[in-house]
Amino acid sequence: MTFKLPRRTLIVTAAGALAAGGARAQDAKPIRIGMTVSSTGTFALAAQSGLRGAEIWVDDVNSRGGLSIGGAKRKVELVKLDDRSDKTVIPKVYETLIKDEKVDLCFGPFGSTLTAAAVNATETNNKFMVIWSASADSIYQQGYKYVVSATQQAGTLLGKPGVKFFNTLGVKKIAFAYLDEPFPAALTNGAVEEAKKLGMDVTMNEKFAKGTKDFNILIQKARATGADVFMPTAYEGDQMTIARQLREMNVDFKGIYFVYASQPQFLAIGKDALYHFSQTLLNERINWKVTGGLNRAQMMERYAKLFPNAQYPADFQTALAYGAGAVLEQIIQQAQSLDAAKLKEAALKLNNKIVTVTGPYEIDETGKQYKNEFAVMQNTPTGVEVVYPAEIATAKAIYPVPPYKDRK
Amino acid sequence: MELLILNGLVNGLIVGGIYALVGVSLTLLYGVLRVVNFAHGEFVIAGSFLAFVLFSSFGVPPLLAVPIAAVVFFAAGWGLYYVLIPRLARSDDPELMSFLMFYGVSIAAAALLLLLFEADSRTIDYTFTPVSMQVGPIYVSTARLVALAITIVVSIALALFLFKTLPGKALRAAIMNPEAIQIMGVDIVRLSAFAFALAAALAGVTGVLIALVFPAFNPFSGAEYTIIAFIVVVLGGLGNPVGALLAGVLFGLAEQMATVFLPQAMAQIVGFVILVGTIFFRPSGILGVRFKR
Repeated sequence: MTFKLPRRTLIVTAAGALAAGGARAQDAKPIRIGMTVSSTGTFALAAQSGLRGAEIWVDDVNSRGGLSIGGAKRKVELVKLDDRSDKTVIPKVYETLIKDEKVDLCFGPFGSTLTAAAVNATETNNKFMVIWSASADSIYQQGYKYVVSATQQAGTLLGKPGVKFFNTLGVKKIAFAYLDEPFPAALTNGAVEEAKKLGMDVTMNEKFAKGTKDFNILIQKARATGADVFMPTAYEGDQMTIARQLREMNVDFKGIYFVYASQPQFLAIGKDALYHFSQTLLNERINWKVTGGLNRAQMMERYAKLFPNAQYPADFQTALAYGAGAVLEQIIQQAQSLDAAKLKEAALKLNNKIVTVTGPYEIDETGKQYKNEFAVMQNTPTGVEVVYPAEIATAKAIYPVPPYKDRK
Repeated sequence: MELLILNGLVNGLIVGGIYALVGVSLTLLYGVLRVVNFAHGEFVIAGSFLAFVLFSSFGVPPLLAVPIAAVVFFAAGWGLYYVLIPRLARSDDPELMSFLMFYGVSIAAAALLLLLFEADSRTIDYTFTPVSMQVGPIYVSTARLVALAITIVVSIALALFLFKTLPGKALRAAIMNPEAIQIMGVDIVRLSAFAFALAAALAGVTGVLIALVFPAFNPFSGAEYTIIAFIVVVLGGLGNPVGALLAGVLFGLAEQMATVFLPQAMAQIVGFVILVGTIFFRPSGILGVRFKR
């Protein structure tokens, strides 16, 4: 079966549409960046959210006249094709981008599943790929030469900021529980590893199956281990249930960490959300001293200007993709070339020299991202505050948290 | 360990009560109409969303949402019966067709809920005062105790209805022998519409209780309750409402006690082991009443 390119879905962001920039920029050949976007399917919402981040970057670069390579300013053109959230068609679509559309380099699709399928095509054709949302460690264990995860930290590193934060508070005993799915499992395994490395006593590490509705016994088990801190990791729904059941059962820990506790839907559970710790990349309280691209406020302003009718507000996928564009800009400027090997070399040279909207940047030879750590937040009675890392903290952590019986 | 066991028993009864209600409406529908409602979980979750809308938009507390859900879902069920079932009855194999059709209804209902409420998990920010009550050495959430009380009241009312009233007896008779009841002059279409509406009302009420006991729900949560409903129905015996009530409690207790003694991830497996065991060794369900057609 052959995949027929849906020509009608081909959309090109016209680089020259914005009048800013000098005459040389208009004459020079644009830099063509290929990416796929899911118009339908499981990943559609997240992919389109990320696309808007990439488009903010393209708009920003072109409004400044483009990128300077060899003395000539070249505008950026984003060539987008539909991947329909389908990992089986994505290698062919990237082949099309490279061979038919003659793109100079590629932006990854959304998520680990699609990225893992796409990267074979880019590597085979010696094209550089900037990854913005794939956290699966396995992608970086394949020996790929030309991939760089510009902003998305690897899955096993995602749980570490929380543990490091608790270590700064002097926590000695920590209990873990996680939903038995790749993301929560990877996050928790990394967190457990970090806790052990820091000399903490991991009193429990128990997984639960998808579809579990009642967490009473799990909570009681964690309490019985004598843990200071409880880190149950799952998606929003399970975490909201656990948060409510903790209060209903009057089970206290000195601190409780839910990955999604600062997200609006979690905060909707009201008092049950109070004092919990969480992590995120995009929040009005997270403001890095940006050295590459727009800062958070500027990015949000540009989002409102470019997408006044967007169904959803900017989210962390938007920030990840925008930040990846900002990193790519620095890589191209450093390399002064679009050659994949030179771009990768430049990407390594930029380690710890860029701070984007999602934080500092550092990769290893495999392209795996080690920085861009999530900030640790706490839901306080006055609002959501950043409590870690220290350089962007907006408040001191309330720890130990007040017992339920003392809360009004 | 004693505390964990006590917690397991109390929560098993409460969760089991909810499971019983989830199953009883499905089995009622199957018993009377031979309709395999694969969209049952979506009906239940629609009840949760109704409670959510009533509370977040109109400030109606969940307790008041229970009778409202019963009325709204009864009316919706009555209407839906005349839209869906008569056409189904004319097909060559209504039972199989009902399975396929309600599978489609399940997808459509989940999509409609997604369109209306988006994919995020929702919760009702309502708590009883006090939040929990001390029962011996353990704390039990007031919401759960309220849900248990409503479950008991609904179950008793349902039993009284089925065994002490004429329409209830007619429903039981329809489960046992639909042909004979028509010969006796009962309007089977009207009775079927009533059964469909009653099952929908029970699903709606169960949805409100689920919003109290398992506070987070989303448009895709329905499928999980459909599976639970089928387990309870098979355990209780196809088309046997009393069996479904008992099976729900048994399933809830087994699941909760399994989490006490085994890793949490094993709890669901225990439930399915009981299901497979029942099919192998007691296919007519725990009450041993063989389904008659």
